Amino acid sequence: MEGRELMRTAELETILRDRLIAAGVATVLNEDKSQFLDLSDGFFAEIVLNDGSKLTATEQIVRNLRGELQEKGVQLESIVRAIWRVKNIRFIGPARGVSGALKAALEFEATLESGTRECSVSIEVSLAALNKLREKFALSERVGSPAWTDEGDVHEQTLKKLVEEFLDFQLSSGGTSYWDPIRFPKLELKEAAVSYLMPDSKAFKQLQAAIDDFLGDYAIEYSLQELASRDVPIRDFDRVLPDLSSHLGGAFRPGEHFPTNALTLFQALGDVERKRLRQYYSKKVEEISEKLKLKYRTIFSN
Amino acid sequence: MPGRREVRRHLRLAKGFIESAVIRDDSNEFQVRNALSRSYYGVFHACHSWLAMKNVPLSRRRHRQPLFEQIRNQRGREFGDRLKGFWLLRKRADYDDPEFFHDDLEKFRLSAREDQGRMEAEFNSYVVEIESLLEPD
Repeated sequence: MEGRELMRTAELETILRDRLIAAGVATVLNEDKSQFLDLSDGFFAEIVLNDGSKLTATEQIVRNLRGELQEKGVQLESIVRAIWRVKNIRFIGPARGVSGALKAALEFEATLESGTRECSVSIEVSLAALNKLREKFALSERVGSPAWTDEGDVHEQTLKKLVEEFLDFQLSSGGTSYWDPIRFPKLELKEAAVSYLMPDSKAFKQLQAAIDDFLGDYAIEYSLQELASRDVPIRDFDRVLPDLSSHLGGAFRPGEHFPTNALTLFQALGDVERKRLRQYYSKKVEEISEKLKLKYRTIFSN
Repeated sequence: MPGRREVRRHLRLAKGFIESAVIRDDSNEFQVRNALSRSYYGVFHACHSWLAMKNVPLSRRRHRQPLFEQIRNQRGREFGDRLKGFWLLRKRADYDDPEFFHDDLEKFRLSAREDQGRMEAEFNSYVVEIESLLEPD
């Protein structure tokens, strides 16, 4: 610790910068993303380059400096990374394991570039992620199927776009958790990533929550009684929709008007979300207990 | 070493705070201030959960300053700077800063919603990684 007391973060930064200049790599240093921190147990330097072809030279400089500092009792933890961007994405086909056996996933290959350097990475879209996408595109009949074709399923172009956004997200992290596409050229795109990259609209969430409430344990008996009193068939979504208005309010988000009319909200949805909401409602109706279906058979029969 | 239980515990708090931070069209000054403050704590606990997922010991994230350092160290300068910015916003929302609220409630709600949207986006960027880890393979 004696050596560290004599040194400040700014001094370390100056030493390192001088060496990068001498080696001719300072011109590709990304000043906005690089950082030097004085942590409780030593220094931390994150060197970020705009050109991946300078990685090896820079790593060598930092490694040498780390060794020199260590001799003086100063600990330096460091990261040297590059800024990458997605150049192109290619669909490969169904993913295969090491043994060559088929996996429940689709494989894509992406080329990344950083300055003059390029690298290739593989991305597997899991079946769970694919199913989540199918739900989002109202392709409920495809959900669960391990097979995929460009016809009648989520389009290849959509999958590529999603993979690109996923890669952008992975590349946005810095610090010790940054993703190094050279050392770790395989990624898996899971269900949670689909939910993050393709969030449902606020109106959709509001209506979905209203359906949950309308057919939930607390309100279902009253909801069925109400529909039966007006002779409204429960499977007729359009006629049930106005009844959802009194169940709105639970899922709205900041920055939105408080919704009061289910019909208005439904009209604000795009075609795909409308279809999805109908499917969601039908599924919830089918999940109603047999006991209640029998008790209110008049509204279930037509 | 932190376990999944701790990851889930902080995630639950984070989601709860984010979901309860609501600014309505008729929210008063204090409801808006509360919403900003809760949003910040939503992000804060999402960071806690994320760091626990990375096996960062509690002693290095129990308090704000070390947690900020860990985020900067483990997720990079931009994430660290944004977190600090949200904390400064929370401070302004919770204390009597005359520059923060100018008696124009409509304007205040509007800018607060923008800030809240940024905090929610930040929160989501942590949650997606945590939930990917918790998701069965």
